[in-house]
Amino acid sequence: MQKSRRNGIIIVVLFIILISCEKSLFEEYEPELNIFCFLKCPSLHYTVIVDQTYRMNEPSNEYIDDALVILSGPNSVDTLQFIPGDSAYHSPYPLLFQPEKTYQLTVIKEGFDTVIAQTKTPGNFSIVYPQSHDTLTISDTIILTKSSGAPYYYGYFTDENDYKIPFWYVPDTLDSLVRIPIPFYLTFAQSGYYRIEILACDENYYQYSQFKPEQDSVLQAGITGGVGVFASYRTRYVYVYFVLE
Amino acid sequence: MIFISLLLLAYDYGSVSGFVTDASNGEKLAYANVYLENTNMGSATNDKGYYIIHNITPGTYSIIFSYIGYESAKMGISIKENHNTVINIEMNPSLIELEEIKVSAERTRFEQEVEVSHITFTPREIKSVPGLFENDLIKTLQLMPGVVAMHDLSNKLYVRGGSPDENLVLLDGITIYNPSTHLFGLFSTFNPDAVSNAELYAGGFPAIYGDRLSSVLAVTTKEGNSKKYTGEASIGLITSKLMFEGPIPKGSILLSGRRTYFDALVWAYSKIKNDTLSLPYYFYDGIAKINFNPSPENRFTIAGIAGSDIISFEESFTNKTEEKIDLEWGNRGISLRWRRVFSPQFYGEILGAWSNFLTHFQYEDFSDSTNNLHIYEEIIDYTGKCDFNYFLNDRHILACGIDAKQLEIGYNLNVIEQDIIAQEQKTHLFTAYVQDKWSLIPNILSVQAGLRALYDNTYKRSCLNPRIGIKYHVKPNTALNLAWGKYNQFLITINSQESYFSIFDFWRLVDSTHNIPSSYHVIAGLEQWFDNNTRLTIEPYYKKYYDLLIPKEDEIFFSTPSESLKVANGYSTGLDIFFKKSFENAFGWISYSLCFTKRKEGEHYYSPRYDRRHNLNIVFGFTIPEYIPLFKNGTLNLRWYFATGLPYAEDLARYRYRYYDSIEQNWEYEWIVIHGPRDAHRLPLSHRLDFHIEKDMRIFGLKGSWYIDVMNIYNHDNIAFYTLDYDENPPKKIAYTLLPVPIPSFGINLRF
Repeated sequence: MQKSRRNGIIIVVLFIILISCEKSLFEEYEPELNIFCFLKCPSLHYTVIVDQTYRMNEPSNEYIDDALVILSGPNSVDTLQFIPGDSAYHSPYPLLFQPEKTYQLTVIKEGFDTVIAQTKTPGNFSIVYPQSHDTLTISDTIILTKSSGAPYYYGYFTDENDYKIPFWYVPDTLDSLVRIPIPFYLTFAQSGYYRIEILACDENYYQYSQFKPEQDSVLQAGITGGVGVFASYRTRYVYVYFVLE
Repeated sequence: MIFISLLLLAYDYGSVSGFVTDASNGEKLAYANVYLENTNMGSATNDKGYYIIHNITPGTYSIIFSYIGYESAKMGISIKENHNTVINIEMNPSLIELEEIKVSAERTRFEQEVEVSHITFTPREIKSVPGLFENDLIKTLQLMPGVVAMHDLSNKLYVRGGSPDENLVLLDGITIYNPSTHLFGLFSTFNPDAVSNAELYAGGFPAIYGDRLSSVLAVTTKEGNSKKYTGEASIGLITSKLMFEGPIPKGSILLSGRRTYFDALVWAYSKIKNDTLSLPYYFYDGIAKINFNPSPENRFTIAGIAGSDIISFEESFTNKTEEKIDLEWGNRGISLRWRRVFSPQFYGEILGAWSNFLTHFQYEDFSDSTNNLHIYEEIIDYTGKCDFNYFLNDRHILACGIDAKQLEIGYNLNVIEQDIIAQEQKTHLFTAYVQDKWSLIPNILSVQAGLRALYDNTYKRSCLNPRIGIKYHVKPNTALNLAWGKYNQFLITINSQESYFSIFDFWRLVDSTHNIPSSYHVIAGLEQWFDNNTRLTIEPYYKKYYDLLIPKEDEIFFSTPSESLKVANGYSTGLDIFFKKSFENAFGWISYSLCFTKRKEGEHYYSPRYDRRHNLNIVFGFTIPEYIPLFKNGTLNLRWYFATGLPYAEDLARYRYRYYDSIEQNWEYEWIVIHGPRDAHRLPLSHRLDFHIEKDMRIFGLKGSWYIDVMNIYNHDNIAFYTLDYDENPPKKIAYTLLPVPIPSFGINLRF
């Protein structure tokens, strides 16, 4: 009798061990606001797209049109208006962004955490070499004056078919100029006319362009309290003839 | 001093030694009993079939060799003072079922060896387990305690919370770096027809083995029949196999090969129908072994393995080849072994081995050579090794050895005949070990202590790996085991070991920027024999990991380890239970594993994807009774598997990621998924039932058998992973199973 009881206890304990599944660590996900905005200097126009993250089991909408969106700069605080045709928020009047200034975007929507985003606009810069219509080879170096407040440079070669070959460069902090070697993968490109566009951009822009959708999960470029990007950049471009040696 | 004293103790006595082999084919008989009649003196053969009985008072005796499944042999011997008598014996098989032989060997091993977490397989066991299309050694190992599979088709070994790259895999002394590569990872390199036995140390392995953190799988191929010419041929759904073995002057030879044949059938069909249909894939492998015994003291063995999976196709337009793609991967290796009995107490082996795993991809565009691409990845291992055993007396068996290894790893990306990436790693690893198996209290308490030293010549690094095992026979049928050891591994892989599907590993040397990964094993075990055919083992274990190098998510194949690896610590702990019983016409086992595996990156602990908490396998096989027509005297083997789910990262939410599409010249978006913690959820329970039925037959006057396997008989959906369909709003979660229907397979075997 005692033996069968003991065996019974052993079987019950083993059964409990066997059927006990893992305790789930899952906690309910709380959706957040998803912001998308670039400030291009010295452009007058900009848009802010306000969207949200969606739980996997809930349907998505195209955008959020009833948020309170406020852009504040060194000398201004503007409440933006939603324009249905653009599915985005706009300033009621043109705004010229000043170089090397901090702009803050605040987005408030009931039921979501408030998003506060900041970007510091890059300073002026120019392309020293090449100049438009110069001939460029793979061993050349693009030379720029430095844009103060821009820790990164992003650019791309665009060929006559509008095919873009991008590149990134982090400048040497001790050099007064920015010297960007022609990317080695242009070895695989063909000779011809190219438009070289270079962006001096803030850290948020760099973070956005390094984001890999297939690997990364959350993009928070300059954003707190939500996801998305709020970044600024300044551009210059030249047309060149590129020759493969 | 102790050494000399022990030698003096042996003085004035005689001894008897020799090899025990099977009279029908010359194969060694491991763990056969040898004893002197009417005395309490005896021994057993070791894994090489060698025995020695020390300290025999001079006189005449009857020596008896016994091994269940064989006729006992008895002969008179005369023992002289300070003299060894050599008795090599060939034992004749009796008609008893082979399974009983195994039980006898296991039982003798239980009495003789100080080892934990050790399992031996015979070809019969490998072949009795139901398989997908055909039997496979690795699939059989997955039925053992401590070994888990990630899914129904997985052919990798996750041993006690270790990843597959932590397992040392040897085939006749040749290191196999990618053992499961056939048919995109579905089958292992080991053709089961050619395997003599396979030993798995799931942990706590002795000092003779090293350079891996978790386990050792040592596969030995058949010696080749030294008495007569025999052969086997078989045709299954996927492959056809042929094996031939027979005597050569003073030795034996074994040749074995297999190949998939569907590509040939499709090719023949195309020719007949004048069609362009083709199947551009096949795999083959072959094993060869030659034994040469110029004298009883000397034995030379050459063993070789070669296998490849090949994908090759051409794209032709207007009868002209435009493009060609070739992809090939495979293992190759050869070993030369010299075993010499220097004296009755002292024998050794010298081994030279070469092993290679090559992956090669080539794309040729005949119309535009600038598109040509060539990638290869290769590991080459040259090993020189000496192992010596010294039977000091009936209390001590000493073992020692040295091992020198040259490792070369090359990887290359070539575009338009220019090397974009061409890197090579090369090093020399030197190893030395000593080990003593000491019978402190004969038949009651034994200790096996060893020390293994490793030195990496390139980075000038060394490691010391102490190992100890203790076996205490509480009763003749009950033993307690304890093992502790340190393990290091100089080679790592840079592809994720958590992938559900991977064909092969990319090996790298641990560079100077990282510490050598290490692990410590502590294992306590209880082994109980209820009778000669019933065995229970219970083994709790704890394994601690330090400095593991884990690939980052993006798996950068052509980067250096310092760029692509994260450092992690971790542990795995659990309990393995194994119960095995044999009857006259039936056998079976139950294996259960409870395992908790954690890795630690920074301060954060997580469960790797192969952390399976509960794993239960029940295997039962029996001879079909005579009153069942058609199948009478055949064998039916059933396997039921039950396991709790693996961890995975649930997709919690999604959001739009906006980007500028330079081709469409427009802003577009794609959905980005926010994943939950990587181990917060578990897949549902998995279970399935498989069966294997086999029946002897005669065809064209030849003996043979036919078999039918069915996997997942009751068609349970074992979910392997989920995906999301974003065409639906909200996205629809889709579950994938790898055996969506019961999978039958069949084949025939012929012996000649």
